[in-house]
Amino acid sequence: MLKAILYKEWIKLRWAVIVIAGLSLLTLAYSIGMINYYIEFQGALNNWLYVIGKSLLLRNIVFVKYLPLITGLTFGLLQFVQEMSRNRMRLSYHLPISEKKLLLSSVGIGYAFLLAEIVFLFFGLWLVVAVNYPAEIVQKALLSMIPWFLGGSAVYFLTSFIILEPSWIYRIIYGIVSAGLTSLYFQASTYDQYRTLWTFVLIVLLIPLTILFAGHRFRRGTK
Amino acid sequence: MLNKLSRYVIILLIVFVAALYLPDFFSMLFDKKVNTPRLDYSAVIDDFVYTIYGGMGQVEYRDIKGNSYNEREYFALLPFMYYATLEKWQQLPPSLKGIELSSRNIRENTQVFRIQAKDIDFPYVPLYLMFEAEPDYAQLMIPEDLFRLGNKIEFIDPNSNSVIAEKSERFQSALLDAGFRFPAKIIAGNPTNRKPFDEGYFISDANGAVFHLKMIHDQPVCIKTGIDPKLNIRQIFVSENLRREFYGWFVTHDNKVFLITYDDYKVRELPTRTKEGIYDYIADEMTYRFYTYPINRHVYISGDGFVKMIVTDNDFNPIAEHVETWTPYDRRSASVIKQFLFPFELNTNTPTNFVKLQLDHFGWKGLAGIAASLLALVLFSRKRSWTDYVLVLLTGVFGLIGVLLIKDEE
Amino acid sequence: MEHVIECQNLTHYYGDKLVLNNLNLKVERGRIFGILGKNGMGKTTTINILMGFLRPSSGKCLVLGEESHKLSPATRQKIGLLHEGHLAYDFMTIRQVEKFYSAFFPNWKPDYYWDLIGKLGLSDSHKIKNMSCGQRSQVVLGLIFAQDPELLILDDYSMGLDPGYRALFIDYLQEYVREKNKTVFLTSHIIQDVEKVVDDTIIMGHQKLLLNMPLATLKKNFHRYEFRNAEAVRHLKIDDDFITNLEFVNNKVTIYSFKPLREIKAYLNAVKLEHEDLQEISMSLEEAFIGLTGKY
Repeated sequence: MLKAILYKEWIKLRWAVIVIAGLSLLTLAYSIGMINYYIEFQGALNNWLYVIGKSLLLRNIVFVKYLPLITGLTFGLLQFVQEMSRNRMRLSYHLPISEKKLLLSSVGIGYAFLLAEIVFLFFGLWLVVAVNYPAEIVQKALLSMIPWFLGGSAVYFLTSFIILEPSWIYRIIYGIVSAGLTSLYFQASTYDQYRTLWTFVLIVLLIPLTILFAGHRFRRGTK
Repeated sequence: MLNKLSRYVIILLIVFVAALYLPDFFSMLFDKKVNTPRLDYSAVIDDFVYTIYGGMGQVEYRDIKGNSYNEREYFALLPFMYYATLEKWQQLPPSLKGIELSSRNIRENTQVFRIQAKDIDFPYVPLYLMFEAEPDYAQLMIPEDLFRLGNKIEFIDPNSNSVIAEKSERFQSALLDAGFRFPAKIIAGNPTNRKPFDEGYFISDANGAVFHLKMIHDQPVCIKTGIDPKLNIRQIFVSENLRREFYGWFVTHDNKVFLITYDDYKVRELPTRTKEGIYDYIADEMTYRFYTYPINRHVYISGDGFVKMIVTDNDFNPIAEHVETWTPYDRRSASVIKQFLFPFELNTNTPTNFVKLQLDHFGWKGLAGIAASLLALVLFSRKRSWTDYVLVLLTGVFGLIGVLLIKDEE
Repeated sequence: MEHVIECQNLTHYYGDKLVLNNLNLKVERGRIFGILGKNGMGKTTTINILMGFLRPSSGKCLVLGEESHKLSPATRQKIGLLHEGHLAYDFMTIRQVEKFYSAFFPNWKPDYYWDLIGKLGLSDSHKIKNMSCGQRSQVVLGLIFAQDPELLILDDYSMGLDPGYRALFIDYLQEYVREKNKTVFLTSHIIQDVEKVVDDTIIMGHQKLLLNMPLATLKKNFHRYEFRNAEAVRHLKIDDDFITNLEFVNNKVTIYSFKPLREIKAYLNAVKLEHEDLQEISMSLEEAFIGLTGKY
């Protein structure tokens, strides 16, 4: 049954998975181009100083900053808008599988795809940065990306949660809470600014649990 | 069971977001600006003076005995600060207490620094620039490599992104020969060429001993300073100044501030403790300023609700201290109401540059808001499970918002 | 007799608005059960409760022995649902949707599905999104048949179907159900269709059940009488015993009743109303339905 759910989610997501992978490649290509351009025009040393002093990598890889967020949003929308439109979710909730298992596995599968995109981007950037910069810069730049990846993960779970909720009033409340939560992950202006990163991870891990309540409300017919 | 848990996770997220934004928003709406006095010490009248900025651009000039001054009179009391203006007004006297009062003399004998929490602990990339301390040119030249210093010292060539073996080994041996024990703990320098000369780096080693490393004619010069490792240094600052009185200064873990003098690296403790005790310097919360003028040295310790000034003579003997206080944020009405209304608040901004989740609870005051929230829940809401009450008991208004918004589905 | 569906004292409020008031109904195994009623009489609410997408305010509804709002996955496996508007996974193709569903049902009978689909003449990779309503209804029906459930709950299967597909749907359904002794619970607003397939029916009125009986009994025992008397307006009114419904048009009086002609005559005599031309007018089920529920 899990395989069937995977099959269904894959049908919904496959184009997006491919498009996002393409965007990741473009982002990597842009980053390579951008870094080479700066090194060419600034000279390697000046570029390094710039990268260190002005957080150049952070400010110039905005695509990396928002790609996981866009991916999370897209995956969430693609997976659940068509399930919730015209009450189509009833089809899924009637399947002979517990609704909790169904919801958590659908979200889990979607997240697995998101995670795959993130890991791809992460290691891609690792390569791109490591070719040109010393370990210290590589480490700081990659550490700086973790909050963005966490933010993208949060956005995926929150989007799914909001869509699966049947009532609009609740969706608005959840939307406000989601905006507050998401903004936490995009506050950095320089490298490796986050401390107690585990608290931010914990929040992301909590969010998928909220989806059960949305499913429960749907089953009860709450409007 | 899981559905119940799921509801509480949602409520918890609401509590979390509310605690993060509501108290701040509340202060923003109701807090009023407090005009803080600007304290100074006049070497002319040997007493403290201050300015107060009233509303509508009004400025008052006073000394602490209560005398009022107009702007020109006030500027004349502080020649080391306003010498340029005084000179323009042709009011700069030729000398004070036997010290020549020319722009040049004042400029050359003035040195200032400031320590804030974000200067002590901050995000950084651990790569450093080693300048040639005795360059062949009129000014310092940016070197062509960077170095890292951890378990060993390595110079890296940016063009090839590889270690420069020979230079690294030279510096490594210099450090080892001076008795340096890896790994390095604190590395302090001033990586800019906009300074008159270069003093390289002050580095504390695994034992807490402080070493002075610089490069002269492409050769490492490493000197072990006699600074006592027991001082337990937290952060070092280096500042090349033509006065050449001190290389820099450092802050210790027990909130003391020392200068590292050119007199064979002897340290000189600066005042951080005050007579009252309550205005003692705390590095994580306060700002420390040090001014040395042709006459006297000034120390400012400022925090929420006060500025404390300690004046010493040129030989660091204390001659006067004074504190000006105002209502600190905690005791202003907006903040007081906030503390009664909310049981706690969450913040991600720290006085340093880090983003970190922190919880400040308001102690017994917060009980007022909790009690009111519980009462509201009992009075205006249909019967609920005991867990809702426990949640409101723990989280006050935040929990109340959560349990009222998200209805129990059982 | 075993009951596949059994609702007891089913009551439901939306906020303060009462929509179902103490509804009781039983559906026997092997029967086709139709629920009729004008819009707003709680038909959708009842079917939502039966399908397990609404928890009633009070009372309970047992479907295959389990409370409908918390059916176990094993029981859901034995129930085939057709949702209003022939809901389907639009984003899947004919082949994909069969592959998906087959994984959930151990008794999956692909032949039923492919037989029905074969008649559509569409390619396997045709997306459900791009089908007409009628074509989609065949896909949905095929999936339900292949699932081989014990109980089929069909919510307004006729909606959006043109007469051809409607007839097709009914034909297939009847054949399948009779042959395999399935139980069906359906709603529809096309009463002629219901007439063809339904064994038992309930008709829902405002906050109450108007009728619960086999269709044959209804057709046999429910009558329409007409006579002319301008006085009647003042003397006759609806009661639960004799006169189920009444209509006055000019001086023509129409009475709907479960009583035979003889008893109606006796009744009119008792209230001293002239009824020389009293006669029974035969009706279709649709007319009987309107007679029961009123035109407004």
